[in-house]
Amino acid sequence: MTVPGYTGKVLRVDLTSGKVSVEAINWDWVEKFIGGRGLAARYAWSEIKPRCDPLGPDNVLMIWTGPVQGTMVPLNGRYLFAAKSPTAGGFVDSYAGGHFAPELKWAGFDGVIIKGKSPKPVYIFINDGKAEIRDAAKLWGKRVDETQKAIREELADEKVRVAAIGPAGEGLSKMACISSDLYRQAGRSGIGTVMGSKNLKAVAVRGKLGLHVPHMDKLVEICKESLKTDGLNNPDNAGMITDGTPILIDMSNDAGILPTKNFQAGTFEGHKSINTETLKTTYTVKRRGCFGCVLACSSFTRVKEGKFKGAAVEGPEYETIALCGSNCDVSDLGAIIQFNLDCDMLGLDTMSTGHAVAFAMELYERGILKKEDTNGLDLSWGNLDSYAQMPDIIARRKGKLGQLLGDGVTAAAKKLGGDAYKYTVAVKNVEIAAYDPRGTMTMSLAYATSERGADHNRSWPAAVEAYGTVNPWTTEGKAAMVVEDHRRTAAKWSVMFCDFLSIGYPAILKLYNAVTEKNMDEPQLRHIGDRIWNLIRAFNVREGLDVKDDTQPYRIANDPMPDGKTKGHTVPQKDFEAMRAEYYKLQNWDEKGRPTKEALHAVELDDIAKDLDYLK
Amino acid sequence: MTMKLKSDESKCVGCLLCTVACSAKHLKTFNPEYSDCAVEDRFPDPGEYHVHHCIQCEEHPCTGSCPEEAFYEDKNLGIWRIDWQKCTGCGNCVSVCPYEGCWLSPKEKSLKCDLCEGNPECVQVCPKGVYELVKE
Repeated sequence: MTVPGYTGKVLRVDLTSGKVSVEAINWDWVEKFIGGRGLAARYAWSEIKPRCDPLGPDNVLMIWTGPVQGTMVPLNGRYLFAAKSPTAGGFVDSYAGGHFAPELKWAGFDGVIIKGKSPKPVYIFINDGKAEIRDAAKLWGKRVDETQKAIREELADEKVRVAAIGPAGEGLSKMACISSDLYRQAGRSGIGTVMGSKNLKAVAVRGKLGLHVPHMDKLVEICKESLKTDGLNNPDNAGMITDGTPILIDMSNDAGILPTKNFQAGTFEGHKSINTETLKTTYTVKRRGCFGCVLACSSFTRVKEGKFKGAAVEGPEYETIALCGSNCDVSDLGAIIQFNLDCDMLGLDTMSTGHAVAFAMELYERGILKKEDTNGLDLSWGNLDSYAQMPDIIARRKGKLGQLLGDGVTAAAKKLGGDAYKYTVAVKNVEIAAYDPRGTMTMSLAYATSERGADHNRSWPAAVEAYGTVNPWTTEGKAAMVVEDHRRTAAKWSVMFCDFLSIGYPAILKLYNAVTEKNMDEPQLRHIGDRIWNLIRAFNVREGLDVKDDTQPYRIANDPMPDGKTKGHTVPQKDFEAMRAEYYKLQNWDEKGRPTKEALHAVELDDIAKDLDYLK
Repeated sequence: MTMKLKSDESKCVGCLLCTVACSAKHLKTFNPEYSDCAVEDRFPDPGEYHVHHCIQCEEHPCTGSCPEEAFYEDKNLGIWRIDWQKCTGCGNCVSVCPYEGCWLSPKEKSLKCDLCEGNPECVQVCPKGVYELVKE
């Protein structure tokens, strides 16, 4: 059996034995779970030993693409890494754009399954249907840019695409990301930590085989039309074309949800210094697109003068500007660009790292941390001398401060004890995104129910609550919105489009069917979305996660906002819990948030139900 | 009449759609390795893209350099094209081209823009208007 769009091949690498093999993709699972997120979840269920040590050899690091990668379908330059998260404790799939995804397809693979643990540092080189494990002794300790350069030199090929960890992943920071094409991060929930735990420095890929479908001319015509109608001329994409994500800085400030001084406020006095206008007029030197992208939402920026002159990075994106900027009381975009660059090259998730710095600054202000705890640094709000040193201190766990912050704010608060937890803004040990739920209450449920810890990508009600016309300060009837988002994103990321292609089921199906020559309809795709989401939840339940982990941060429930549009607001715990209970009910999960036998049966996951102890 | 492909690489965002549209048109594959146009990524320094393709130059030293006489004139478009049946992949045309406008595919055949019968795919798919077909 084959389905157009897939290579049909999966690469399997055992780092313990050094064995590399190629196998056929599981076509039954392709039918039931499509690709990307769906296949990652299904393979994770079978490949990852239940309750394994996420940093041990039994955890499995996977790479997945979907049927559209490597074609001309708009915004298909996307792939994912998946594993059991060492940070959140359950399933994690973390996505990145750039050019790695098509290169893997053109090298002949839909996915890569990496097991075991290498006795010494290595990297994997995938090249036209084959792969080899190569020595990485000389790469260990290097930054991502140094690593990519060294690998390309060693392989004598400038076109090799490299996904690598930096010192943060090597040192098992639970905020470690995987950087590909230098500036494209699979960022969240410790996916880079898993890679580091396997002594795997990088995955390099070169593909010259290309991708062919039998109905090439027909597909090309559909794609050419879609690039315009669904991409360039789609009014919902306009902001991404003109500005990209930094457009949200002013919008969040107006809505009173812009993280400021470790979420102590939702408006930032210096917001105009870090908004999209300032970025575009002073720092952006080039717009860049991932493979197949007609939007080109990202900005390549360069600092032209001042203390951080010379720093250049693809970014910063909204999340980075907010969490590493206003959240740390930093209004100098040059400093943020340098910070962003350092995080990318050291292999740190900017979002979590921004939180860690803001948390430390608040504790310093409150006298909980003193200079003897901060490597002698003055951690006053917005102190750029100290701020600029933080990525290196955290990534390399330098001194007492690096030891404290290296695994994120929740781990740091546990070490400190006392009231420190009140100043952490995280769920399942993963720091929240830059949308304060006190101005978009349903975000609290979105963060709580995300399987990989606080995250805005599985459900983003801020779009309609903070920036739209839906009342942000009621939780009534809101759970249904999150249910629908979870279904839709599971489906969309299994066919595998970028988040930023604003398309609904009809356009997703048009393109999916065009590539695969299938005739799937909307009810079928929605059903698959539900199946994937239930499977991911079942994975987390098997790992011991349930309602006790679907929480909201202390600050969100207890500290009223001090100013702006959100002044006086919290997300009262009872409202949050009622919304969560409603969400479970809509999913037909039990009061502990566990899928019932009926819920799993309804999406043809009876085989999964059989493996769950609580259903026996 | 002569047709030429021109490009303004300052507009390029590196999406590579031109390369896969080109390979799909000519060889029924999505594969930049078989494209008659190429985009070179020069980041972080100097921080720009460089777009390569045949510019249908007046002097066309490629044609005379070919020992197999694989080049033939397309009089409709006023350009020179390559007959792959004759091309042996010696690379002479690549060496003599002053514009880095042709190169060898992995199967060692010379790749050079043929303007897609006067309606280039790259012009059609580029979202940023990098390419332009000019009639002279």
